[in-house]
Amino acid sequence: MRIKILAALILAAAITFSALPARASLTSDLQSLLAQGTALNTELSTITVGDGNTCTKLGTLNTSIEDYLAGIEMVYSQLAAPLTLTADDLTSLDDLSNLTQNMSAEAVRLSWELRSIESAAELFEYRSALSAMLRLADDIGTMANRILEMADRILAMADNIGAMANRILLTQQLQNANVALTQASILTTQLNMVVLSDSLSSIAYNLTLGMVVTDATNLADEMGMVSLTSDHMAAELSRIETLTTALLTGTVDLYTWMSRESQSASHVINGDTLTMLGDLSTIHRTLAAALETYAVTINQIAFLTQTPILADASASMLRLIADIGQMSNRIMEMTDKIIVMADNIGLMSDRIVETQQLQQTNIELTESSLLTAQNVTITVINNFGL
Amino acid sequence: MNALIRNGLLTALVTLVLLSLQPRTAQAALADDLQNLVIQARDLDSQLAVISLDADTVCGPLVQANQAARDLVNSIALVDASLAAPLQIDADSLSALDELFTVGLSLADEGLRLSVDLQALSQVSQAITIKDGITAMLQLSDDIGTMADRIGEMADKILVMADNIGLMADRILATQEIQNQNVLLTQQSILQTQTNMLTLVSVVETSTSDLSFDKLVIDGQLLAARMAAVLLNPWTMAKQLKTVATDVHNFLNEVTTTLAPVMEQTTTSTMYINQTSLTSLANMSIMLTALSTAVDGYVIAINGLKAITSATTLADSLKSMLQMSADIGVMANRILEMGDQILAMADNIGMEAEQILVTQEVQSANVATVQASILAAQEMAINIIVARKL
Repeated sequence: MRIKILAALILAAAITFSALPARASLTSDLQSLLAQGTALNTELSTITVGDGNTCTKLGTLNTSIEDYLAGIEMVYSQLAAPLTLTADDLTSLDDLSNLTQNMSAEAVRLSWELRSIESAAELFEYRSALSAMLRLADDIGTMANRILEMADRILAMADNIGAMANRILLTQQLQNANVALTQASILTTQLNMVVLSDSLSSIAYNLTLGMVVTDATNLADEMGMVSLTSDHMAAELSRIETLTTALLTGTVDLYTWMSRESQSASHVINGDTLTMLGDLSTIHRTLAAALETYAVTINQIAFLTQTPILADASASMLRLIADIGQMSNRIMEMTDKIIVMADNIGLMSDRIVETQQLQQTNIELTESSLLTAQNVTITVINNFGL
Repeated sequence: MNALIRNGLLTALVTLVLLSLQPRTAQAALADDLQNLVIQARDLDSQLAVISLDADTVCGPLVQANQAARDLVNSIALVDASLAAPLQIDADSLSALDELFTVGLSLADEGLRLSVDLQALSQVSQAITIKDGITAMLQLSDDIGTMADRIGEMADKILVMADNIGLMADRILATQEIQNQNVLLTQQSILQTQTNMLTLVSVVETSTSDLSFDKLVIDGQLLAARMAAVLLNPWTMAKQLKTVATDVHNFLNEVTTTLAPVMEQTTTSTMYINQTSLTSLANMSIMLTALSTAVDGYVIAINGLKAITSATTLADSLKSMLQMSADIGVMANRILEMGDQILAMADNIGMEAEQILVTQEVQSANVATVQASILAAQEMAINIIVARKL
């Protein structure tokens, strides 16, 4: 009989003590989450887009929030029925929910700040902050959800709902109102970021690029037909120069327009654009090869040519070399620019690499021809004292 | 008369001095300008050399390096624009050009080193960090390439405008050699950097998940239809709601299992959103409101039946209701979070901006409706627990 009483006492004590640590642990867990959350909120409130280095600060904060989320998940996974709720627990849940709502309001502030610097910065600079902002909105939303889920789960597991009913109702209503506000803030943040995103399909300038390709092909044909003589070499080169200058203007105009658009819009690369950019580098190689031939010819017939004609011809040659070099550079740079902010970089990466390799081979040959032409021309200038 | 001659001689002398000084001044100005560019380029080179990428500091230093590189390109353009014929080339100017080409190559090599660092980092970092890094590196190579091009073009222009080529021919030819070698190597480094970055790009098209999203919508609608068909009565209410709560819980598991791979993908890849996926996301949130409408119906029914239902049946029923509400809440959150995460990792936000805006608004409104239903169910449960002292 005594043993039975003793056993019953031990059992009662065990039950009493096992319930106590669970309760104490939930209370302290919630308070610790609250302290960590407050620190995150403070960190977020000190970030200002104008200070620079926004992407690093937001990146560090994102990592901290993700660690924090893991902490919430941990507390959540350790919840076990029956739970006995205290007023302190409910206060912590209220505070956590308020905190998340505050953080979402801070995110909205940052998103407005980012919109205000859009006109002052290059797309790439604010785009990295933009993706960090979307990530932040995502993280804060997840935080709000986890806290609400934790509150719901605690409610489902609580064994003293009746005793705490009024307090619980207040907490649930507050949580619900805060989650609605948080979601609204997150939506505003996301909308601000999406509004900042603009995309330009390269199809928009394929027509102009096509015209540049046609003109470049015509120039290559024209240059191929030129036969330099000691009498009319200056006149012929001057004619080619006029055609080249027109083509260079067309190319630089397209490049300038594209560079300006790149400051505010990302690119969707169309396959035809890459094909034309690759083709252009091949045409430029032909142009440079023609110049190399001209230089060799001029060098050969220089001694038969009158000095003024030779001087004009060699000056034209240097200008032609500079113009064709510049055209070839602009086309390479155009490719570089459109891949920086390409929306479909992943889908087009093989084509991009192919185009760049083709361009690379062509540019090496182009530059080698231009250099030879330049060297020969300089030698002529030197030898004939022009 | 003497004074006139003297004045005339003096004017002629001053003019001569001015004329003889002018080309030298222009010449000195060019050499100074080029020397300043060399200093600026060397500073950028030192800035790049000390950058070491780790998981927390990818975008910051690269953004700063990009700003410095762009400033340098602008300075080169400024010097280029100020060039005016006739120019007198001197050895200092040519040495400065040689140095610029050499530093240009060094910059391209630093870019290449950083791209290799980023490749190594991609094994341990999240896709979001790498995504920023890839863009920053491509931008940096673009800037360095542009810089090399502009230096080359400036050299060509100086040659076009020079009037003492013959005198400096040998020195110019030597510079041309250096330029040619360095520019080729620079281009190769830049191409390698770009290729390294392009191999790092990992993208998942959301269209690959469209079928599973659609299945979730259909299964959810079927569950909502089953829930709506349940007519609660005071005797079997507990059992009926328990069955429904189990169904809802199983569906939550289905939702979690279906979404897990998508969530996993967003940590290792960026996303390419298509319109169908966005419609599916909106449809999922509409499906959730159908579930919460059924819960609303239960709240009304239980409130109507509570007076004639036994305490035990009510307690069990309310437990199921709380369970069901929590599960639907989790489901709504998971779906919303997946939408948010896909958006955060999307490559093509600009392309689909309008559709994204519509989807986000629909999702947000629907989730708010779901949360309101859940709150109503919880309030009802708590009130009954208090009133009946359950």
